[in-house]
Amino acid sequence: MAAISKFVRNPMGVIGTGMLLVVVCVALLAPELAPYDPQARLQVTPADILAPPDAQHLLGRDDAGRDVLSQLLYGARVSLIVGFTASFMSMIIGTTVGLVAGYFGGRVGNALMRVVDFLMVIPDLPLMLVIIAVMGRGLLNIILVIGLLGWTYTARLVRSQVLTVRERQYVLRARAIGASHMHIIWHHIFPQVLPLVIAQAVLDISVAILEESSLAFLGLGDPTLISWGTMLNFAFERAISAQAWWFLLPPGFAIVWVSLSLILIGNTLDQIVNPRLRSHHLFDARRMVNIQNSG
Amino acid sequence: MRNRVWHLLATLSILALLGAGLTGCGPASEPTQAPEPTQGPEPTLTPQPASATKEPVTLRVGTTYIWDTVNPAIGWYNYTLRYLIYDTLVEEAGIAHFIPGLAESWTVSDDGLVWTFKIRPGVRFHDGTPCTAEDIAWSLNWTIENQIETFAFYLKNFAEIVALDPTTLQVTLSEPVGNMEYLLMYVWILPRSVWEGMTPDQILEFEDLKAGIGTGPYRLTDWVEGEYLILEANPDYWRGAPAIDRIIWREYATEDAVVQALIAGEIDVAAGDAIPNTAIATLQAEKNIEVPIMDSTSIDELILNSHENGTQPASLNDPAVRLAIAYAIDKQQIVNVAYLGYAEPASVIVPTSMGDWHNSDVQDIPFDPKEGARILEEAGYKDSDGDGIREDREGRPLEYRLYGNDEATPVRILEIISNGLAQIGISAPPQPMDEDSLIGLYPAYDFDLIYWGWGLDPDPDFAMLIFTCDQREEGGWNDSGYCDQEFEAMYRQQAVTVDREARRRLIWQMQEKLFNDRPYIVLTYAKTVQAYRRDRFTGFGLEPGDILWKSALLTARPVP
Amino acid sequence: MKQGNYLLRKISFAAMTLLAVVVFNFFLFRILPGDPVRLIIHSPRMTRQAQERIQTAFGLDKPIWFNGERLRQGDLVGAFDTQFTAYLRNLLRGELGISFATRRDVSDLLKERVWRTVVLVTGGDLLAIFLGMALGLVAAWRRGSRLDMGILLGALFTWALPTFFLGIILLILARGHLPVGGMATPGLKPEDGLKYWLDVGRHLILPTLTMAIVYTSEYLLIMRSGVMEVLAEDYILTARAKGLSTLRILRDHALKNAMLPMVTLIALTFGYTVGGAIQVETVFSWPGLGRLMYEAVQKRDYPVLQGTFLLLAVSVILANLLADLLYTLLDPRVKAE
Repeated sequence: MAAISKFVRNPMGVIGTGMLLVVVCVALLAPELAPYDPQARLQVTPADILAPPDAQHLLGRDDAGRDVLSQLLYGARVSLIVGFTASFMSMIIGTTVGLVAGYFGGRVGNALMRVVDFLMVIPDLPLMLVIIAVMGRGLLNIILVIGLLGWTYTARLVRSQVLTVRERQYVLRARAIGASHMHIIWHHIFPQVLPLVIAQAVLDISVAILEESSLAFLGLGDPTLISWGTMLNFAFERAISAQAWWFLLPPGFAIVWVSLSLILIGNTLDQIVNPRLRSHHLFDARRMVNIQNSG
Repeated sequence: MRNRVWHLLATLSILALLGAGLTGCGPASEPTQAPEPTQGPEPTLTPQPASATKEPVTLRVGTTYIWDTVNPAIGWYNYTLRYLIYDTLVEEAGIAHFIPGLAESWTVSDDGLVWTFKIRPGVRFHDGTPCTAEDIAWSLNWTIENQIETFAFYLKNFAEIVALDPTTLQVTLSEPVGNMEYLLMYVWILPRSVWEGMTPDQILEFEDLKAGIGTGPYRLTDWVEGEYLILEANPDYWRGAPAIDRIIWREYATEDAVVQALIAGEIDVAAGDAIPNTAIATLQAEKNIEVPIMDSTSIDELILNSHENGTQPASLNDPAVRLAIAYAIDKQQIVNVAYLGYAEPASVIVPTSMGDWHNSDVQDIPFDPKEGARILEEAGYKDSDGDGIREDREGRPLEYRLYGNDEATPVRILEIISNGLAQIGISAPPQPMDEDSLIGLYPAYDFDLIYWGWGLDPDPDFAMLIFTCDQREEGGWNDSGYCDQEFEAMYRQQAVTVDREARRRLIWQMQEKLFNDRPYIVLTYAKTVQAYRRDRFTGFGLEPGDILWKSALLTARPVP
Repeated sequence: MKQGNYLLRKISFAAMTLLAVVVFNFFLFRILPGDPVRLIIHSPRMTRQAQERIQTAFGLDKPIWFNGERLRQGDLVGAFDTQFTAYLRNLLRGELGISFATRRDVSDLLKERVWRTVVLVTGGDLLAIFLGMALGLVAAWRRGSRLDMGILLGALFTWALPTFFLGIILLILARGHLPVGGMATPGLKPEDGLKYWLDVGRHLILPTLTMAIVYTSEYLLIMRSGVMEVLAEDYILTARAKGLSTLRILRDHALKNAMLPMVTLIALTFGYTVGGAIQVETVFSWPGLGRLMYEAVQKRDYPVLQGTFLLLAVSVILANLLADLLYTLLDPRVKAE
């Protein structure tokens, strides 16, 4: 397909995909790749705590004497799961809301968009903190909170696209011959919307991963589950003054690696899908304002 | 074009004004005005250089939490700090080592009921009002009348307190006690000038800095909650003006920030609980930093719900199960991982630092999961469905709720405990939670296992008190729910035993009983680790286990 | 008038959102299991007097949002005598409750800390805007060159960096040269004048730098794309053909047109910077609203959480409104609508 060949020709896209594939492989193959099982019970001596890197432990050991490299590899799983699950949730919710609001319009549409506006205006992290404080911590709650707050961009995007497509000739003709709404949405509108949604979803994954790591760092994750965010939480509390950079830096850079890969991919997809707008549409304020104005 | 730029600037200034407008005014306002420090006479006891103006000697202390409130009637935190601003009749200079405070000497009648204290003359509170035996009597009576919750309980046997003359205080007890000095070491002597005439509610609500007025070596002059607290030397202090003119307590967000600040020279002392054990090696490697490691009365324990109406499963009440659990806990691992070796595995509840109060006859249960498994097997807890978890005779699996604080170190300890229990076929996945939620579990005794710790008082009475039936009421100290009539009898008896050796024998018996009944499995006796800049200060006493403790701090001086 | 209509719509939307936030804030803490508000009564740190004061002030003995009993008694106005109305009344009076952890008035805590976060956020944002605009302009002008690629990758990299992680790195790098945390050396007060402000300034450097680096990338990318689009327009070609200098073209055309989305972006990004402030203040122990919120979450200090959240949400809503209003003033296209 034309899209794929365009993607392949874009160096950013290729690099990003490569980076992402590395992480996915690591996550899938963690049990084989990791030299140690991070959940295994250990007998440690004080010398093992925050031990610097050596031949047996390439990234040294953490504050419980466990191998950092193994934790890093296994940590990829949680980060990816959270990222993909939360953004998948956002994608579903956002697309549905956008389709309904855009296609049916009217009072329902307006009401939905008001909800979207409301959620977009509220600052994200404080809202998440407040909800988690009340609901309690844990992986599931984090996924829910990120997913339930992250669908707004997709909704806006979908709606504005639907508004455009809705008035196109083939849609009007389909309506004229009496096709049902579902049929029209599914066969004519959805295919036009899907590429945009996917491009946005990729970016949403990187945002979700960043948000999960922030929440875990602030102590709201599940401390018994290994994720890059919780590693940083332990590291910040126990490793800084021991200057254990091998425990502090790798999880952070791992997060950057994944985020960056997703941004590169998302950026490229966006350029392909939206050829007329050469700007990064996560950041295009003018476009956001236009959407706002037409709403 | 210029229009656009001006518009941009206008936007930004409006935003800034918006921000400023949200406050109503500018910089932070101080909570209350400190009492004006009076210009006392130049300190005469320590030799001073002949210069006309001298930079005040300032000691900067870093901590992660200064204290909860200035009000001693409701304040539970940072007794070290309170010890510097208030005095007591008797002071502690080392674990169970007592020295005269406001009382120069004391005698007791033969029946053990009448204590006579010789009170030091010429002592004044920071606001200038006198502190004679009459004022002390007033303070003690005020404490009892208003049932000051933070220290009135030490005085529960005090039937009558009266001043015979300005330097003689007489206390008549309802029953004799064997630990009078200990009872007095935390009873702050407070000024009439501040507290007289307040209703009980007013006492509880008082947040003014004046609540910090005492007779101690330092005056509280400033406190910004969450940020810093400033003490100024009391030039009229009865032991002589301290060599350190000013102490600033500074609050940091994390322990590591405190350590960094110490290394960077921003502070001179890292307070006791502010040093993570993982930082000790780094600190010891710094040539300007001294890291004293001292005995403490801190212990940590696994609490097993022992309340007869608690929500724990019946299996947890089975002594065989408790014994098996004891075999499944690897205390040495906890020492290694959580304390990096700066602790020792524990046996009984009274730590070794308390000298001969500690029952050294009791042999601790070693870490032996096989033995633990064997005990469970023989007691009838078998794993019938092969899932690795044993069931009791009714088929209920041995699954316990294991709670603890959600900070990094307790989480690590929970993991070790959980892993150990898994090895003997008990499922207890760690469930860390915040402190307030933990406290909320107690009134209903709704838990199975909790990991927590104590900073015990230097007399074994307190360690025993927490297992008495009365303390199971709301607000009491009994967190295990343990209540045993034989233990109660022993407790009552030791409270009125004056002969030290007789009391010691009783305390030993009580420790043995607790060890076998196992409402607690005591995990470690921790050491206190502090750190200070030896290029700036020296001479701290090490005996109290806290270099900022009054007796330890008064010998400190700046490095010339 | 069309412009007036637009303004009115925006203002009414802001008002509605404010109301929705207030209602949400109220119900979140009352409806979920565990009823956090009830914890106020049982918190061991509360004095009896404080508990009673809260009870009456917040009407905790009344029904949550609708008083059916009073209605049945024929008292129509009394039907609204509920916790919710008590909450609204208190809000208007500025009464936000009492902190569990410190027993201080929440409104006092907020007043104390607000300006510290404003300083941090404004400083960081301004620096980010400046850097972003400058670098974005350069990148767009030298589009396709290695400089452009370098700047672009740098921007993407910092966007992918978690804010707190960047803070930790800077903290480690600057140790010994700059203060590790706090707002000022204790003992120094505003009354000490310049010495105090300089000291605060020193403590402000690292946190502001962290915030600036994280948000530069956003401005950079917008600026770059905006300028790129403008530069591709026909009239630029014409200007070049006419011989106008590069600088003049940039100044008169590119900058001017890229400015519009920038202005809106500044206000819109305010919401994100608030979230970033929470992380930065935690890492650097900066005693502002962000750190207050972090500590409140740790201690489950619900009144503080509620109050801080409300304040932050309100600020962002107002900032967005401001952005809309300014956009109206600045964009000729909207005026013509």
